[in-house]
Amino acid sequence: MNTRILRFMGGTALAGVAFAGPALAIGEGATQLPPPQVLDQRAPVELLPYEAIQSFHRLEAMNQPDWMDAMVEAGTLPPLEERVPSEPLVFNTDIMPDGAGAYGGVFRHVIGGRPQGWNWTAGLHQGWGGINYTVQECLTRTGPMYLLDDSRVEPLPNLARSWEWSEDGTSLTMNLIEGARWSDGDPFDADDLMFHWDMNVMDPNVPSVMSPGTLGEGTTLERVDDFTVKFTFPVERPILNLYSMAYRNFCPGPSHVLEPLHPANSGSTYDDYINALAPENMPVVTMGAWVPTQYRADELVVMRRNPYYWKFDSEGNQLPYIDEMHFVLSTWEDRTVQALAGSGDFSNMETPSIYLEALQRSRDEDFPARLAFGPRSYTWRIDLNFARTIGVGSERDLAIRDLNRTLDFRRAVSHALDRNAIGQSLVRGPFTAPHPGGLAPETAWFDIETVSYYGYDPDRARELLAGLGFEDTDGDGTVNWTDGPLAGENLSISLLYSTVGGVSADIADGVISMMADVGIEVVASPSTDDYLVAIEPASHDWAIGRATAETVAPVADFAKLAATGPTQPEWHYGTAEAPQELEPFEQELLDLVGEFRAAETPEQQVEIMHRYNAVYTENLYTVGLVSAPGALVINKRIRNLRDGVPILAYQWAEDAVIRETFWIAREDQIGGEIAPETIPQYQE
Amino acid sequence: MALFLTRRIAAMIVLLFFVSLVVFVIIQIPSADIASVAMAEATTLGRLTPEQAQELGDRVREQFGLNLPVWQRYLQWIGGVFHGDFGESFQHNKPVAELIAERLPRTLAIALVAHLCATMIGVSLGIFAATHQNTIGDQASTVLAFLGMTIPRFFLALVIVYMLVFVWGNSKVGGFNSPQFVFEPWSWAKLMDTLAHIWPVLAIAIFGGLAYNLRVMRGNLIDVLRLQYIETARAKGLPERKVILKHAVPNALHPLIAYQGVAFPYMLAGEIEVAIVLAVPTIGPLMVDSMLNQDIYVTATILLMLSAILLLGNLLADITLALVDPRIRLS
Repeated sequence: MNTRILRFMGGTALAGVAFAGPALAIGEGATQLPPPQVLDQRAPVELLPYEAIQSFHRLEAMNQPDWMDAMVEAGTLPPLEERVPSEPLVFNTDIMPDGAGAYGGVFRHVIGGRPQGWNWTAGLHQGWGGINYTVQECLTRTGPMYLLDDSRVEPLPNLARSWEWSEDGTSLTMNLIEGARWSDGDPFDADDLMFHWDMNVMDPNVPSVMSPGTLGEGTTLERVDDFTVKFTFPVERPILNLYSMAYRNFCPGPSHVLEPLHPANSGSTYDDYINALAPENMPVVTMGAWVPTQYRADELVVMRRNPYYWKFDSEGNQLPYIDEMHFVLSTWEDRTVQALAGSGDFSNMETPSIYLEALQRSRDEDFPARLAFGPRSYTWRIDLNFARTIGVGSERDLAIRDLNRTLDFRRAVSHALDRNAIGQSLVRGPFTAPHPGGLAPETAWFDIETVSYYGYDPDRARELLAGLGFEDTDGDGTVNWTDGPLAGENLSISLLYSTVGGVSADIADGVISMMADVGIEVVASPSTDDYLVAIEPASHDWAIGRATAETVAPVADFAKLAATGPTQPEWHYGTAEAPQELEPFEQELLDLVGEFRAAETPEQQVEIMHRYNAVYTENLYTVGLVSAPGALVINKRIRNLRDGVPILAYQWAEDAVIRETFWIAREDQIGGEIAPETIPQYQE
Repeated sequence: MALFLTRRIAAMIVLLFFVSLVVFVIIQIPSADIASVAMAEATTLGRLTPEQAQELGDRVREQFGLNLPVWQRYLQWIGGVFHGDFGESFQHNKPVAELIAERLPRTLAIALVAHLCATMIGVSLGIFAATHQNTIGDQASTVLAFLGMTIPRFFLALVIVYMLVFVWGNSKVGGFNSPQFVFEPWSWAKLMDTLAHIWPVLAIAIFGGLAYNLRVMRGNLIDVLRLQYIETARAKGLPERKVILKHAVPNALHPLIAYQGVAFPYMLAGEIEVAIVLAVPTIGPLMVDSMLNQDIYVTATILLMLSAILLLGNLLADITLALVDPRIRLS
């Protein structure tokens, strides 16, 4: 059996993944998905065994930047050995693309968000774009999991250095890193976790991201000793909870700072507590690699290296290598502009129309940035609204919803689409590929052998429409309803799409003209809102959606794959009072997701996802359009970037790339440090 | 004059009240609200599960009173406005007044500099064009004005961004200052760095603004120069320079003075599109961002503020006209 799990396909070996399980037939009238074109610009991901990436162990010698040695000598900083665990988290230098690095330099982020405050344990975010990841360290870590080979696939240890399941699988004992300290020198221990759980997660007045139900209603947490905690779950062996202990759930804040401010201890209001650590409140106390030390609203957050950081490379160098990090507070569009201009170091490029220009320019030796393409994990689709219980305003709406729920109609829509033409309209060349819907290609979750693909065949589309009773009775080129409340009317459907980013708008133009070719009148319904905001009322006919992480790494977001609640999937909403009316195949998908949740081994998970995708694509749950890769735009100064990093998989790329191991060669350090050779200074 | 002022100010207050009503109703029209945006953001950027996002949405609706009827929300908001409380921004997690106070000074600075430059350059070129009618200089200024009035500002901004990034390799793109100057006190070097960042905003705003001034000044001055009293002044033997600058130009300025009343909001609006493309953190991008994110109290406050500025500008223009022109004052 060749089961390659959770890994991203490098290069072009797409057809190499096969699961030797029960044979899964493709749907009637479907063909196999043609293999995508080779994308030369993408280097394959080098997969690694779980244990090869990091470990916790004693180091023979520990090093830090020279200027910090001088501080130790001057007595202004405790010796390194006293500041860090005796067995720190160690990243293996051998598997770093450029090896151990030089200290110093600045890493410059540009983000569109703004910090709400630094009390992340109470639910505030810090502005996205990598800044949350920088200050929040969590029990487990999932971002770098795209690197894992088949030998062991589960979240990486982080604040929890190891864990053991009880024999009956209902309790999980987590061993925390010992001897680690917060950036102000206060010891990190089980009290920080208990404060996070007892006074934030379990306190209904605190809007923490994690809720009592995140790990399963009835889950309890108890402190065993200073560095051990034990979870008890209401079900047996919920292994997916390890994913729910990563960002942004189980990322404790500093209890020695926050506990005295909690209303239970201070008499202040919850609002005061939540906002106690305002953005201006510097320096922040964190377990992260860099510590926010200066802030100017709408302009900049400056971070300096954390002298107490508890991660090292295997040569004994305390991480991070880079001394200072900037987050310029700007716009998301500006992030890419500045990365291309060389005034920013990092951006995700998600708009295919600029790939060619940026790629051509990046080949120029003097151009400051390079492009690193990942797998084709961005997929666009037409979401045919299945909702019958909400968002229905008229008989016409109901007729359209019922039509959307008819498989032959969805087949007709799929056959009407020339996906190659749509892809080429976004960007010329081999970047895009036809997408059948469902899981993203180029991951091991995706098995090309069992995917049903209803490719471009406009004659077949017309036949299917005729079979459903549609006929152009008035000769205007659009087919008419011949039965039901809309008899005699044109088959006219509105297509909702978000104009944010522009890609969906470009796709919509193609869809509208291709549907017109087979007699379906599609009327554009653009929205300036984000896609999820635009579809919330569920009153649309069709919408152009872009799949997110659940199709790339289902293990991290599996609940979104089927109707596991009233607000998923996005094309079939209901409410608690008016739940969805599921088609039989939807129930089958829901059952498969339940099976997936209970699976005990990664092999089982992969097999279930292959079956899931077979059912999904055979029934055209959504009508897939095209898939495209995202690209990281990264300054050429930056070392240790791995090839093929997906922009979004288990986490966003900012976490996946392991920034604490990035470094900049001395000759490439461009200056620009705002507070060189300083560490965060806290007031007593 | 006192009666004139009292009536105008009273009318302004009534008008502002109606503007606030209309603004508040308009921003409620989209079916989505700030809770929807928070949920979408938390799902895509924060990787929350749908249940977690729903809990967040419910909390936000509760926190911002979105479950209350619109009229009740309006009364709460307008009641706060009288006490200087313009509500809270969800996106920024801070009072709207604080948010606007952070951005208003730099917005006003850019708009004022652009406005002054546009007026001075535009008027000067207008005088030149009028006094050199049908020469190459006049025709060149006409072409300049035509381009300035017709090329969309956002398009110019996009062209400049492209040139900066891909052609000139300039790294001073976006923002007000390079990071190393953000926390520095004002100095010549910091001012130069600021100008290196915001010159495209100024240049585009000035280019668009001067066109109107140029055309109006040219047309008016040509008309005035044909009047009898100008001929009289020339016949008296006054130097041509004195005839134009002392006798003709002041009388050709009336429409431009009246224009100042609406020019400021116009300059702000012009700055908005350019600042968005160039990511300069001023009021413009904040307003658009708040509209996209349904941050309603930010949108409502900015729109109310722009209306107040427009009305105030008109009032000041009327007063200035009355001061410079006895005919208006006496009537």
